[in-house]
Amino acid sequence: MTKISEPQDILGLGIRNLLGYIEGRGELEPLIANWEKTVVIELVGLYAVSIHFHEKGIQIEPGIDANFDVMVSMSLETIIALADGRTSPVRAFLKGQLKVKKAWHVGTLLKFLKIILPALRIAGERGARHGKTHRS
Amino acid sequence: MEKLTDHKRSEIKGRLVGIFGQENVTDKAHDLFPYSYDATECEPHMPDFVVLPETVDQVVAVVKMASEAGVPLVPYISGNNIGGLTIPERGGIIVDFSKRMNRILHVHESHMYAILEPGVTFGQLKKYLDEHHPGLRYSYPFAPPFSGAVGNALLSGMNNMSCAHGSMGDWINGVEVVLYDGTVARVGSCFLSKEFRADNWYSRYPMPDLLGLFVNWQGMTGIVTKCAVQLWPRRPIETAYLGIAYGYETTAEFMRELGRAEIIDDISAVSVEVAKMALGIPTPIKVPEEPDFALLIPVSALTQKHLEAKHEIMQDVLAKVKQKHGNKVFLTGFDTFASLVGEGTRVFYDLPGVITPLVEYSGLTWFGSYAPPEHLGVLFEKATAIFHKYNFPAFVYSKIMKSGHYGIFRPIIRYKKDSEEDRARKAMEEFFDLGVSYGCIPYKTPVWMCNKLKEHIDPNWLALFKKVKGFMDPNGIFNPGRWGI
Repeated sequence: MTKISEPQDILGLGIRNLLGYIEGRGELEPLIANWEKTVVIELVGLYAVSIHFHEKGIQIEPGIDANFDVMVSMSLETIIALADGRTSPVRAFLKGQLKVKKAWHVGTLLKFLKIILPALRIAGERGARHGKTHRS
Repeated sequence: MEKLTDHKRSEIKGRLVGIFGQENVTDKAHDLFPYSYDATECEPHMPDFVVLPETVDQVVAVVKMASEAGVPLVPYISGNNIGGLTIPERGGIIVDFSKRMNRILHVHESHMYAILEPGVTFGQLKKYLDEHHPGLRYSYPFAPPFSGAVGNALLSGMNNMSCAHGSMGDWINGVEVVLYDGTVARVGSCFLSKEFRADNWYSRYPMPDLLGLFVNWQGMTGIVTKCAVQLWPRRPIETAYLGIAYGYETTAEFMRELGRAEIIDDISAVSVEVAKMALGIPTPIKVPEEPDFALLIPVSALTQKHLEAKHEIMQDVLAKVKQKHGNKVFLTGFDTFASLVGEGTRVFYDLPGVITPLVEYSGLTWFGSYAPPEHLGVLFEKATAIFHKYNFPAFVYSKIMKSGHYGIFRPIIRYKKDSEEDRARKAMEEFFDLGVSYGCIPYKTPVWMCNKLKEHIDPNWLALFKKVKGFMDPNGIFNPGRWGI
């Protein structure tokens, strides 16, 4: 079982929750085995969180770690659209809705997307199920 | 009330047993104790008896008996108000409606109202409407399903349709009430018949509005035995938006502007710390990068196009606020966001429900007030400073009511009763001073707060209030001690 830190900020809690979806399916551990990277997610206008993947687990903290390997920036609307399946990373990237710093670390970027996208889709599906409950 | 002598106690108990039956009367300390206190800092007081009425005739009988014997009567439903309102300040008889006088007597589908007995709860009403009248809806506060719907209406509580339709007190079409001498009076359009009829409770106007003698009086003028509340057509689409905002004034302005747009059912803002409480952080501290407020905005619509039109208007409002305050407000769909950050946040939407952040501590108190909307921004800022001064997590809750005619400002403290009550009380006093200095008026008001309020209000209002109380309750039996009188 992957140890995930307990962040105290709202976005950090969100990231922890998302990673928990994948962890719950047993898919997280094999994905991050021997993976020592720092990825930053920035929600434009809100703030950024740094996610440190290392052998002892995952640590999440607010702010931009200067030594990040990849940084992904998008708006709140875009991350929700990714979760809902209304857009894809490629489409968002081509439209300028998703920006990547240090994009030359392609392997890190792709691996991170492999972790976070299924998690976002789970959130989107759960949200849609609740939406139906509320007749939306 | 003077302490009852053993002889008098025994005599009263005999009369109560005669009215209610042995099994519906108790004077045992272990039965009485739960009625002696609530979650707040208000001082506990033991009642002398608890009775469980089932009929109006029984209520009439107990009122006559109490008038004759000079024994206080305190109406009770679930006791989970946050104002000490059912603590028997002067002892006496708790009249607990929750167990047996809790029927939904009638739902008028065409006139859209429900006639309720006082013990009906929000959860019960919701279930009943969902099952039997799916085209109608009531609305629900941030309160557990076992909270009393009639009590909340009579005390002008708020709910998740308050931006569109205002205070619950405005939703009352009429009441049946037992007066001090045992007279049963019907108030509202239901006065237009000699006997009770279920089909004439459709309005409280145009006759003189005697409901004012009972709404917000905290049970000090009579005991309500029936209450007709307005229902609303259920719309095919019900959904919610989630707002995130930086800045106190930005948050307040966004709330006001959305209210004025007349497109939303409700808008509730809470300090970001509160969202984190719902996600399992017991004593959250705001990190500097975080937004200040999260806003829940329920919206309903008749068709998808109707919803899209509302969405477009909301985006216009958002753009207008951003133009003035910068990129400080964000809006998105609530359902996906909740699944993204944590399902715990759904407690604020799935109402009625147990709001987990409100029930995690032994103590809970608030300065609940109706507020002038123009001052909400400064109130948020100063209230947050008071929270920090007293070392409690910020927990501001606010609403825009009736499209912005008034607002709700409610700083809330969760605390440990055994060790933090003094600190909570001192903070509450500062919240009171802050609120009143900006024109806020406390609701569901505890006695200590009423006593402070008297220092600020028109003395002639107070004199009139006392005269009306004296007229309605000459024997001083109805929840005496409330409002400090």
